[in-house]
This record gives sequence, structure tokens and C-alpha cells, in this order.
Amino acid sequence: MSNAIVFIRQLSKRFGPFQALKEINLQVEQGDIYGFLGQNGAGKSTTMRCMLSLIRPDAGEIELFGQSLTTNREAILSRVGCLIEKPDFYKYLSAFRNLELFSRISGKSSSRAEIMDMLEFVGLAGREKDLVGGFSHGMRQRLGIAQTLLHDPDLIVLDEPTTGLDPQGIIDMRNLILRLKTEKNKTIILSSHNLHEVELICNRMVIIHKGESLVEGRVDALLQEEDQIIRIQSTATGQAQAIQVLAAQFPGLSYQILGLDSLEIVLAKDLIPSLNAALVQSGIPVFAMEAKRKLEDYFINLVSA
Amino acid sequence: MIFLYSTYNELIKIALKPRSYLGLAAITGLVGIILFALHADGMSMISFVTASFEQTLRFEGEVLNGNLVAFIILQMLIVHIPLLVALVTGDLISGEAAMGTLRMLATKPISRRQLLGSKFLAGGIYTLLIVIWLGILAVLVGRWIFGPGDLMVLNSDGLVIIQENDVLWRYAGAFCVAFFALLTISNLSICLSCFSDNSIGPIVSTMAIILLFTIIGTLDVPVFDPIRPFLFTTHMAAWRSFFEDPMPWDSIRNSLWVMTLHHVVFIAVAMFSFNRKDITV
Repeated sequence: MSNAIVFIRQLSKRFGPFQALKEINLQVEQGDIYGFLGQNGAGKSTTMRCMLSLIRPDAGEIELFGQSLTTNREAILSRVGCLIEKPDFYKYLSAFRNLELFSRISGKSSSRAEIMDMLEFVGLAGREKDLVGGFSHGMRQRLGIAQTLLHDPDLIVLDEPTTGLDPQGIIDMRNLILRLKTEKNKTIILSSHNLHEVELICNRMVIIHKGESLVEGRVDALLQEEDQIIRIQSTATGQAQAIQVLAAQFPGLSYQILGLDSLEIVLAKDLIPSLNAALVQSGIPVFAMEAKRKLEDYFINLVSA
Repeated sequence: MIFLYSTYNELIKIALKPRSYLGLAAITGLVGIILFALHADGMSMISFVTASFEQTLRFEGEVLNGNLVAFIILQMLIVHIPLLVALVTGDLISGEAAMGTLRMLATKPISRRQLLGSKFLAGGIYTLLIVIWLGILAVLVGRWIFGPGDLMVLNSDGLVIIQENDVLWRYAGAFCVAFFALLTISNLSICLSCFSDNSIGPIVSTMAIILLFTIIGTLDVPVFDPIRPFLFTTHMAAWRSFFEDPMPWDSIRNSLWVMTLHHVVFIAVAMFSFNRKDITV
């Protein structure tokens, strides 16, 4: 039985002559971390904005929690928390006051203690009285997450949540998203053009390109369809030896020589341990053996097709 | 209930935004200057006006009293207050769009109609506060400094003298009508605010419309005669009718009707447009 809480069917939107969305279809299930993947301007944000009733679609249906967004907008939005693009707040108000304002119209007004707890959860304890105008981008992003979670929504929509964050901020955000799923069992939809991010945290995804959904489904299942690309770094001698091993033990396997000491080999996932063993048994010095980002190739192949 | 919460939010935002105090500060400053000028040199100014009547009339008591001072202040400032009102109300939607907070508000479980309604209500309350503040400064402070007395008003029909005990209720009525007129400005600027994503546009547009309508209203050209009675700017000075004798109730009622019509049109246009607006910023 389907456990879907978001259904989007044949969603289309045009801005003047520009077709922003063209018959987008997708389905998000309870407990998913669902990735919207696409290049800048592909239609990820427009799809999210349609889901949140910021933009009126020209055609198509949007259902959340089994209800039509057109007829049950307020009931649906009371169960959704979102952070669209950059988190914008009233700069002349404090962090606490901003959260208090948004919570008041979120369907569940939060107490002072709940707001303070949320500020602590996102790492802004002690900054509640500071004006948001003085906050860094990372701090605003965290305040945005606090605003998103304050009314305890069932569905969380995050549009490019790591944009503009420093490396530590990106890791913190990624961990926070995973905690929301594992500890609080939230369903999360996030958009990103960062393939690595989607590969790391999403279990399902849709790839949107030029306003169309190219593929949709489980990340592992989609990537399973493709062979793995392994990059091996050795020495000049090791490279030559490895080529001999490949010819002898893995006939028909395609590879590419990279520089003087490396090889890139395309092979099925279950062959990787055998290849590793063969290289070691032949005494080839292997300094690095890494899987090339599969999603990257998958994505590039798909959008350039 | 969520409408009331939203209105409360809007009032908090207005109260904590520094720009909101520009209007109050400007009124305070301007009234202070007028009071100082009248206190320092008011009699010579009054003598200039009353000189033409001195051969036929004898004035007893203080002509320059708190009631006259309040009338002068109201007369001088009521044309400037629209700008002070628009400065805040014109920013209520477009300012949120410029800041990016409109996007955040529009994803909350409050209908756009309620959200916009709460902004109209908050804009109206701010306008009321501006008018009350002007009233306090003009009438109460004026009477406190210059003392009470009969009010002498010179209008197109001649000189009207209103007894001291007959003045206060007229001021109350005049301020109510002035508020209703300024509410038109508030509603117009909020309506224009729905069409813009920057703060300055609706404020400048509001002033441009007021200027245009005022010019059409004052130009003595017959081609504008049919539309002149329907321009809200024609009725902005309806508050003055409270200081005529006998009071032209029909004219006041007519002005209120015309302004009400404008309120309805501005709110309806804003609701229609805001409801259909794609929030892309």
C-alpha cells in the first residue's frame, strides 16, 4: 500500500513565453528524504513554490497528506515547515521576536520555552535577543531551520539548504537533516544542485531538467542500473602491470589511462572485490582506489542525453 | 483567530520599525515649529487677516487662542500627512517582498485574504494613531499654550465665529473625517504595494496619484468637471465643513460616500491581485 504524502501530477507552469514546468510528476512517501536534483533554473524551486502555494500552477494537481492543495491550503500548510531559498527575516527584530511572529501564524503558537528550546536545538542559544540584521548567513540559515521546525511539521521542505554555508556549516546542516529523519521521523524534501549532498542523504529523488522530471525513484535503485567507475592510483610501473592483470583476468573490461600512474575502470559493483584482490595478489602498489561519484555521471549522462 | 494574530504581528512590526516613528517625529517637529512661530509672532499674522474687518467688527478677547491655533495647524499639516502615512503603509506588502519575508509569510497557514486584511487593518490603526497624535498636539497642546477661546474661521463665505463651548465636538468630527480621508491614502498605498516588490515604488506612486488628482481637482478647466466630484482628493478637506455655520451635512455625507467607494475599490483590487500573485522573490 502506498504511503505517499505528496502527489504531484502533470504540474505545469509558464512565466510569459518561458515554460518553467512541464508536466512534472512525483510522489514523496512518509519518512523519505527526497531530493530535487537539477541545474540552476531547472524548475526545482518553482515546483517547491507550487507545492507551498507561493506560485499558482497553470495545470496539474498537487495533493499533500491526501488533500488537494487548492481546496485545503491552510490545513495542509499547518503541517508543513519550509525554508525557500535564503532565510529572510525582519532584520530590525531579534531572533526570538522573529520566531515568535512566525509561530503565531503557523497554526500552533509556541511558548517562550519552546522557542528557547528550538534556538538551542539549532545552536543559537544565547543569541535570542540579538537583532537578525547582525547575523551571519549561517546563523540565519539555522534560524530558518528553527522557524521551519517550531510548529512541529510533518513535512519539511528545504530549498538549497546548504547554499552559502561554510564546510562545517554544510556538515552541520547535513547531520541536522539526518537527525530530523532518524530521531523525529520527519519527511523531508530538499532541493539541491549539489549531487554529492543528494547522494549522501536522500533515499529517493527526482531529476528535473528544463522544467521536466527526467527520472524519479529510489536513489540506490536508479544508480544500480549503472556500472561503477573505479579510479586506481598506482605508479608508472604499477599502471602497466594493472593493464596486464585486467587483460588476463578481466577480459572485455573497459578502462581508460589517466596520466602516468592512474586508471579509470568501468565495472559492475560485484566485481570490485575481485579486482582489488587481483591487484594486491599481483604485487601492484595501489595508493588509492576510489569510486567516482556515480550520481555525478548518472546526472550528466541523463541531462546531456 | 489567526487574522487577529496576524494583525497583532503587523502592529508589532510597525511599532518596532524605526521608519514608523518618522511620521510621528515629523508631526511633532512641524507642530512644534508652528506653535513656536505663532507664540512668537502670531498676533501680527492674525492682525494681517483681521485688519479688513476692523472697521466693521470689534474683536474682544484673545483671537489667537488654542482653538484657532489647532485649526491653523490642521489646515497646514493635513496636506503633508498623506506622505507620512504612505511612508509606512506603502511598505506593508512591497517591503516584505523586498526583504523576502513575504515568501515566509505566504507559506504559513493563513489565507492571503486574511494576511492582506490584517495589513489593511494595521495600516488603518497606524493612520488613526497619526491622526490622534496630531489631534493631541494641535488641540490639547495648542489650548494648553494659548488657552481656550472662540474660534474665528475665515472661509469662502466670510467670517465664521464659533463659540468656545461649541468647538470641541467639531474638532472631534473634523478629526474623524480627516482620519477617513487619510485612510483612503493608507488603502491606496497598500493596494499599490501589492503590485511592487520594492519599498519606494508604492510610496512614490501614491504621492504621484495624490498630486495628479489634486491638480485635476484644482485646475479650472470644464473638461474635468464631471470627474472632479469623484476624486478622493476633492474630499480630503471635507473636515473643514465642521467649521462652517450652518454645517453642510449633505456635503459631509457625500464626501464620506465618495471616500468609502475608494476604500472598497482599493481593497477589492488589492485582494484580487494579491490572491493571484505569484511570489517569486
